[in-house]
Amino acid sequence: MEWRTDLRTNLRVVRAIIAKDWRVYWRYPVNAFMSLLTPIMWLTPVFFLGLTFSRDGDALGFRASTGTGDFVAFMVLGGVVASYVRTVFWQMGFSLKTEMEQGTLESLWLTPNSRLWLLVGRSVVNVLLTAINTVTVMAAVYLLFGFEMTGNVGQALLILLPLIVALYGFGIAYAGIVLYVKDANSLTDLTSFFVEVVSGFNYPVTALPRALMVVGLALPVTYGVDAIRAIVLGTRPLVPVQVSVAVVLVSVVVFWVLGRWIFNRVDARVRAMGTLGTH
Amino acid sequence: MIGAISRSVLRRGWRAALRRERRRATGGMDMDALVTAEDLRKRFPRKRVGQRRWWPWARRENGRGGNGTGASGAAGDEWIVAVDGVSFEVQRGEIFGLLGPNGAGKSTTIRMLSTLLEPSAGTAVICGHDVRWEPMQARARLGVVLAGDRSLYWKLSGRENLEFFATLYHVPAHEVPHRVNWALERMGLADRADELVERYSTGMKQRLSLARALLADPPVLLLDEPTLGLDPQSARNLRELILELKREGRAILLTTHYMEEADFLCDRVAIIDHGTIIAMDSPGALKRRLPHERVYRLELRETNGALRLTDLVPGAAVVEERRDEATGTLHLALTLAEPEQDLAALWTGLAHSGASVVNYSVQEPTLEDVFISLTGRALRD
Ligand SMILES: Nc1ncnc2c1ncn2[C@@H]1O[C@H](COP(=O)(O)OP(=O)(O)OP(=O)(O)O)[C@@H](O)[C@H]1O
Ligand SMILES: [Mg+2]
Repeated sequence: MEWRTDLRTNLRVVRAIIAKDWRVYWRYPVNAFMSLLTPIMWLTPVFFLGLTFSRDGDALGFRASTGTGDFVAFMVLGGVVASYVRTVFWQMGFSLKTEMEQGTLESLWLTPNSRLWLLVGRSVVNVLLTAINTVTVMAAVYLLFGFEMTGNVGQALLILLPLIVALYGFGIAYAGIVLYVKDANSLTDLTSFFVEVVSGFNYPVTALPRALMVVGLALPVTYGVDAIRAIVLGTRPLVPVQVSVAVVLVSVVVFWVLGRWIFNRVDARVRAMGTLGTH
Repeated sequence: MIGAISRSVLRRGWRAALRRERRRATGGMDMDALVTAEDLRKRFPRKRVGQRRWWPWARRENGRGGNGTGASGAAGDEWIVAVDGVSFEVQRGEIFGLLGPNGAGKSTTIRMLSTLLEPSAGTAVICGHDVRWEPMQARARLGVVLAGDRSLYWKLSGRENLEFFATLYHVPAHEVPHRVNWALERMGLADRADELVERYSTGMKQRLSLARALLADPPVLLLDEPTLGLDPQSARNLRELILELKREGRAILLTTHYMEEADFLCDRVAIIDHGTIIAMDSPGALKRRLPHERVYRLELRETNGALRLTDLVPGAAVVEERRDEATGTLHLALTLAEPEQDLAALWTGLAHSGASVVNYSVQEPTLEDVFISLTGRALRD
């Protein structure tokens, strides 16, 4: 029996993981439903608050500081990226931990596949599920509150896609770290909350105190969101859109190289320490 | 080639490197040894409660000094030595058992062989592939069933689980349905295949795990406590299946702490305690090593005072003497040096003493007795 792991085999494996994760996801219908409901529940009070600050549907103060008066659209676009950030932390990082605690992770690790490919499979299904989720939420928000997107949505997607790829590179590193850390729950909670605060998903980063803003500007997601809004809503960008695009593209490479490296390091450490499975 | 040799020389010493090269040159030292473990060792850093390992400085603080308790072996307080230099081979068509008490290092050995754990030292080779240098090649030849029933997706049906893993074991797409059916059929799960695994009994989950291990038709099976938690009937069925798999020429390594199971299934048994193999042979040969063969158990009702059996029967040694307060009888367990004449002496002696025999049985020696005679402890407690 000769053993090959060519690209075709790896892609088959990725596809199988997608199909499996997809099935398992829908067998927890309450979770699936809640992930649709939560962002809407969360946006509702903000919408009414925003209305009280608006005149004739235009939030003037908001317009002065961002360049658009349509705060719902502003937040929806931030929300798209935010949902990917959240899903990378919670789904990518955490579901691996869950599988570890359930004991299925070892079954995966026992198959003759590179662990990286197994994670790629998991990432893809995550991207798909989050996309479905996001589009559904956007549609619901549109029907409930209404917003307008005047700019070039296609161009914005060209930024969103590499941004997502970069995020999943980070997700792979994070997945490794979570395997190793005991109380991953609070770590995940804190970090993902922090990223959401400093990256300006719900408000312009310029509204942040200086110290936090500096941190925000160090994260590539900040540039991604900023460029997407500039393109779709015509907001004033922090830096020229081309610069943001460059930041995002560089971060794809950096996050994947670094993510892979970190994951392999942690994985080797886990195999040496034996933290996997025994808890 | 030179690069590979010198790299491994640096890491593991020249002797191991030479052995490896020689094995590679001959295409495997022993063609029939599908599993080879040589001086395998594993130690774990001792973790303390409250120790936060992901901060380097926290480790430094807690790593030193220690509380001085539970030091074991030469490695001292810093390390738990789980496996301490085990060597064995498993041949094609052989069932090899690791028998030992809790914490002996059985699971750790299996985990190292299945590439889940990195050995601290030593070599493990699966079908000519070193688990450390060619882990994927090794995994491709292994079917593994780990202890516990949580290794399957409970929210998928049995069939869906197998289909998924068949692809992950690179079964060609057109063969997947056929192979999955074959495995389900074989493990007697065909009629429940489309139910969610969460509705399966422990025995069914265990059989599904074994079905999964068979999907890629691997030459080597590693089974960690395969019958743990099964009722006697399911355990018996599973043992029959394992014997069948052996007859197909697979090399099977299993761990157990049921000595009857090891006795029934294994061609050879390694008795493992505190991470080292203390005896390795066929169950029959291990039992023959015992100073005595059978244990004679008597339950007596005495009529007059103390009975001195050893006076009556010169070759008798009392292994157990216990008075049952409830029934007022005396339980005796004896071994006899010369069974034939000693038995005769025993019966005449008993008749003269006036004691009446309430119960009598002859017990064949078990691997448990072997373990006790080697360690002075019982296997289970
Ligand atoms: N990941 C780990 N970290 C620290 N110590 C470990 C780890 N895994 C195992 N050990 C220790 O190593 C020793 C051997 O454990 P192992 O699980 O191999 O025993 P076993 O023979 O399988 O026992 P059992 O019959 O209970 O399954 C035990 O003392 C155990 O506590
Ligand atoms: Mg065990």
